[in-house]
Amino acid sequence: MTVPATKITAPTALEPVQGRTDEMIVSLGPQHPATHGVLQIVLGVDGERVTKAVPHIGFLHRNHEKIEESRTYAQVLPYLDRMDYVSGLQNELGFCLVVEELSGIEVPERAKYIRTAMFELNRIISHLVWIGTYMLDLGAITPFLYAFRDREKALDIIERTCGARLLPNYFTFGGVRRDVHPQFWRDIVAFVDYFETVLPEYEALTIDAPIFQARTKGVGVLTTQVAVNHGITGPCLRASGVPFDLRKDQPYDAYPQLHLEVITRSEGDAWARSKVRFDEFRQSISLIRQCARQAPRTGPFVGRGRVKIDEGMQRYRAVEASRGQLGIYLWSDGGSGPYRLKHRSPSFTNLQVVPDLFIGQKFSDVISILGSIDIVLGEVDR
Amino acid sequence: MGVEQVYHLRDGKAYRALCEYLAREGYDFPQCLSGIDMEFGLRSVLHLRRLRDHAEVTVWLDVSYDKPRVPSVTDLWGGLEWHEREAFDLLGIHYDGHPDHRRILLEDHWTIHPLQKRYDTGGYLIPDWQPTVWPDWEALDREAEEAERKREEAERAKAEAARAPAESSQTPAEIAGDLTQVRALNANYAAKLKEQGITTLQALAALTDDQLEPLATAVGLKSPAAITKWRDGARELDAAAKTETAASAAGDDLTQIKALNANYAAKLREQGIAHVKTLADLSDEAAEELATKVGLKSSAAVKKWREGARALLTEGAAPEVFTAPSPAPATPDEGQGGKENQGDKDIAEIKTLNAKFAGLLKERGITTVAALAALPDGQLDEIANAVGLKSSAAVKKWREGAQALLNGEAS
Repeated sequence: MTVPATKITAPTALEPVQGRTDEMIVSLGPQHPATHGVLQIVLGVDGERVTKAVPHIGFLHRNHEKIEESRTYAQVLPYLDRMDYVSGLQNELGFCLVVEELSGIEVPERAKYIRTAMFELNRIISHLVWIGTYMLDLGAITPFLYAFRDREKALDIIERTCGARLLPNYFTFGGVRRDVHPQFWRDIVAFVDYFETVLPEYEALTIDAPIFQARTKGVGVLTTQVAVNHGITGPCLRASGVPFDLRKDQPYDAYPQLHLEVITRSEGDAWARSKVRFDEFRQSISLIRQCARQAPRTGPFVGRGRVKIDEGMQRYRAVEASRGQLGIYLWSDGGSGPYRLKHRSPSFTNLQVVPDLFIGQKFSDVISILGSIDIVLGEVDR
Repeated sequence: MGVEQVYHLRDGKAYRALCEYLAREGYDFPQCLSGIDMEFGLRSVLHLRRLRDHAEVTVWLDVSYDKPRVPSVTDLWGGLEWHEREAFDLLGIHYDGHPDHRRILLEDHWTIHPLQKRYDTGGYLIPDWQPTVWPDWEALDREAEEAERKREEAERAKAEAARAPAESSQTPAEIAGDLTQVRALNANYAAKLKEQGITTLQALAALTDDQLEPLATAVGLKSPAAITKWRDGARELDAAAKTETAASAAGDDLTQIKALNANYAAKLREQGIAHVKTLADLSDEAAEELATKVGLKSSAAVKKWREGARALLTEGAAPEVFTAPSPAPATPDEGQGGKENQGDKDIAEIKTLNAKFAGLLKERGITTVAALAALPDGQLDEIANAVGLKSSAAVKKWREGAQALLNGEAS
């Protein structure tokens, strides 16, 4: 922003401010409802314009990676749920894939479908939490109640299958820990059938609503070049016109057998990111239906094998979680547990682009942009 | 899925040059950057991806503890900024040229890097598992196989033992003989019942309600309640015995075997092949022999039956259609029974009597052989007249035939 050479006069009530005022430092967080956790962003504001943004993270840091180095492979699994606690099951899959690949454990076909269906169900849950909290940030309370009503229905299925709602610790090396209950496929299809009928309600309340569009359209535009260069993944990247989806480009579990169109938008603004997530609802519904149709009803739910990873073996594997690429880098020294385990969490990587997006935007749009990125601090700080 | 390639470098300048080359090559997407404490030094690991064809590349750069300096590549891939800060924060790798080289997760006043292996956790995070001593997997496999084999053997033995009782333990006939098997019937009363002619379970089970009271008084009981109870017990046992017989007879019905008809089944039975199992266990030589014995040119059919028998056994399908146990042929212990038996026969059995006259005789009330044989001489003429014969000679001949039939068969 250029600084006008003229002397600044005190603004009157009728005249809008022209030019530059004294910079003010505003601390957003760490205790702020719109940060979804404990995130501090120190903002420099010039009137209503943001001129500076410095995020501070680490308030939730537990150093998972250090703890996991002192645990066996099986003991690592429950810790993974605690990273992105909104979609706990998704965190487990990447680690399972790495260990299965390095130990040569075969995953039975049925387990693959169960894992894929649960994975997609978790995506619906995660996006529902996102709608609810994002709309709450923008000042609408009703969608939050709707979203949490339907999220409970999905969590009931997770609870009935895994025994826990948020931190299920369900996936394991070679499949899943327990068999699904006999009504599992019926339940999950009934849920998506129901959810498909209420989806238009959500759309009417959110992305189709004029107020929402006024708050999000043209706000926080993330260009394709910046998005790719900053390693942005998930709906944020696809809303900037990059058709990168690991479910399609590097498929795992049952995804190779499922039909999937990568959803992209070209606008790159907060509204496009929201729209991509809404389209992903429909995509997840379709994927769950395909799973229910194709999944074998009998057979083992976990493959046999021993977790034994030789010294010097290493692998980076990633899965397409709700927020983007959730990667695991494992280095083994041949012991019972990982020698080094790095979590590449999508929220951590996506959050670093936020200062770039804030600069030059209106102060009230900060919340709108932050919400549209959809971060979970448990995953950022690990 | 792209092909993964690993570059292992030890020189910072080469690392920077390689990264610039890779950026030009179109590796546009920074996936991950992490550090590892290798205990001989630190290693910075970079994972890149090319979105065009999803090729992946991994770059390792080893640095020493004394000089952990790595050129920053954030100007090539902006997304690595925080990852490099994290690697510095947790592992102490310094990234030269980083725009904002600060700690990211920990407080700025920390002095040590926790993911280094020498980091003192102050007694926490001590692995609660012992250093790895891998077991001898092959030995464990062998043990598992052995256990599996033993289990199968035990199961087979159990199955055989379950099949054995039908042959070795008491036969239904024996069960039928021993009245004391009936619940609440002691040997004393069993003997008394036998005196009254109730010698078998069947006889006891077949008692009608009318017979109960006289029997009770005969064996010295005041009321028939006890006998009713015994009879019910006998009926239960009898039913159980019948089921058992039916089950053991299942193997007897050779016609269950595919492609084996009743005719050949009977022939096989003559040759002593009465059980499906016997047939299934037949050796090739025995099959040849059997084929000639039952009048077949080759043993192919016999082998086919054998296969069928084996299939039947492996299916374990105890077929639903049990043939009823063939009723034990009545073995009369007295001549009288035999005579009666023959005497009950139709008069048409008599050779010298043709169908026309047999019909006429039946109209006169002479329906059985016994009745014909017992005709007194005085009635012969009367009968002869009645059936339209001039003399009684023919009637006499028939009577002789009937008598011959009775005596001949009985002796």
